[in-house]
Amino acid sequence: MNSADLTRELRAARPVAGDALRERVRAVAATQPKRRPSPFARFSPRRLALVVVPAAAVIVAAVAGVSALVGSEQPQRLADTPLATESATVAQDAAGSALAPSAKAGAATSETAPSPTQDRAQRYSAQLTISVKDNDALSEATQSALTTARRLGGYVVSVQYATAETGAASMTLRVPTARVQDALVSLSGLGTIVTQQVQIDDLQGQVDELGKREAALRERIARLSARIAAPGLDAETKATLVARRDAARSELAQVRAQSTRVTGEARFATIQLQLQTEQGSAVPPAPSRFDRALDEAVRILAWEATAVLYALVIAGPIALVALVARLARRLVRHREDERLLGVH
Amino acid sequence: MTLTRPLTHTAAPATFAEAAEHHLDDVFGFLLYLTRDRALAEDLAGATFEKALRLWPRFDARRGSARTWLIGIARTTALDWFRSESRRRRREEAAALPEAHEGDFVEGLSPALQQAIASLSAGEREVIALRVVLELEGEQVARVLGISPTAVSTRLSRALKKLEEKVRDDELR
Repeated sequence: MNSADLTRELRAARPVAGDALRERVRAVAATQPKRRPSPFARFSPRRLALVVVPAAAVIVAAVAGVSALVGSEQPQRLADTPLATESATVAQDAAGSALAPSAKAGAATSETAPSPTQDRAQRYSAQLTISVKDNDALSEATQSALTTARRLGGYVVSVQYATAETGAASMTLRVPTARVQDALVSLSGLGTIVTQQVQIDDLQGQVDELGKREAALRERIARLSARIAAPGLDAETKATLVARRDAARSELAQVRAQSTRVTGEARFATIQLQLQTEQGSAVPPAPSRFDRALDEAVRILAWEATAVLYALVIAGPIALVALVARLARRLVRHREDERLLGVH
Repeated sequence: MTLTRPLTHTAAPATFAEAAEHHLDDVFGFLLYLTRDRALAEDLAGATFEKALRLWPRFDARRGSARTWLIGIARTTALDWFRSESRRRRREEAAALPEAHEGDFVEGLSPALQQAIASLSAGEREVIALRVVLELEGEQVARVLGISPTAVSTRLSRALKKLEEKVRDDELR
């Protein structure tokens, strides 16, 4: 009997299950639940991982993107709000000293700067830093600033101008306080405002006080002059009164000088203007919303990557040991199966 | 209803009952060759289908036919039984596998072939059952046994040669 004969005989005598077993298996099959199995039941852990891992990656990226978009809006609101608030404070505290800095580069204009109160004497000081494109623009802007000061009835206190690879000009201008807003509007048009700071000191109290003192001194001088001119005055008394009148006149001169100085301070506003080319700008341009969103997304992704890395560092060795143990167990089981089956 | 076993079954069964009806004889035949004990093969076949019912939701026809899937479960069930039986009998016998009774375990075979099959190891019998009796493809057998198709060919060749020699020896006697 050869192999073909053996095969033929073996196939001809193919075993058939008995009726008892058939009924038993039918009974087992009849217990199959009618409901549809869960769609997840068909997924092996490996296939689940193929779905879960990309889904988790998409979720992580989506969280970073959404957080970045939301986060990028906040700096804009925070930058705008204090500026408006401080401007309002200046308007309300016009009687006192006020400071109105503009911290946001490129966002402020001179229109947001507080204006002086017309019917009060105030010392108005403004510091303005403006960025221009290049050295040519710097030269034009410097000339324009000087012209503006003169055109508005002011004058130039000092000018410093220097150019190399980058350029900068620094000048102190004095313009009539009544026209300082016009000056600031004009100067802010020379380029991009980098910083702007306005300080207002109220001088009306000093002016009023000096006025009272001047009036009192004039009255005293008049009284002394009348007594001196009165007849029957002895020489010693007359000399004393004359000395008092001279002292009063001297004091009056000082008061008038002081009053003139204070009034002069109030009449002219001081503008310290810094012009610089863009390359020399100390303050970088504010990033756009897209840039902020991108930076935020990168920051969040970096944070998420760090968290995943930590998880891998902790769980990685455990997973590796588990994998090795599983492979070893499978190998041992395979060997045991072969021993049981008498293979080899 | 008559339970007829299709020689080739490629269409995926719609229900577990359908799969069980179609492949019961294959599972039983495989277990019979493996154990050489009809009663034990029936018990293990029952246990196989109970286990298969629990695992049925995870059956994926794209990864293999229901036939090979059920035979794979049958083999695992049989090995589990061998393992537990081996532990139980370890003190009594050195042999790992329980000795089946010497009577005919497959109806319709000649006594010489019956004896020759009985002399084979369980590993040799299972490869003959799968490749020759149930006519599974080499790839399918390899998947069931967890070995390479080449190893299946080698194992089958040895088993058939051994079987042939045993039958010839018996005829000469």
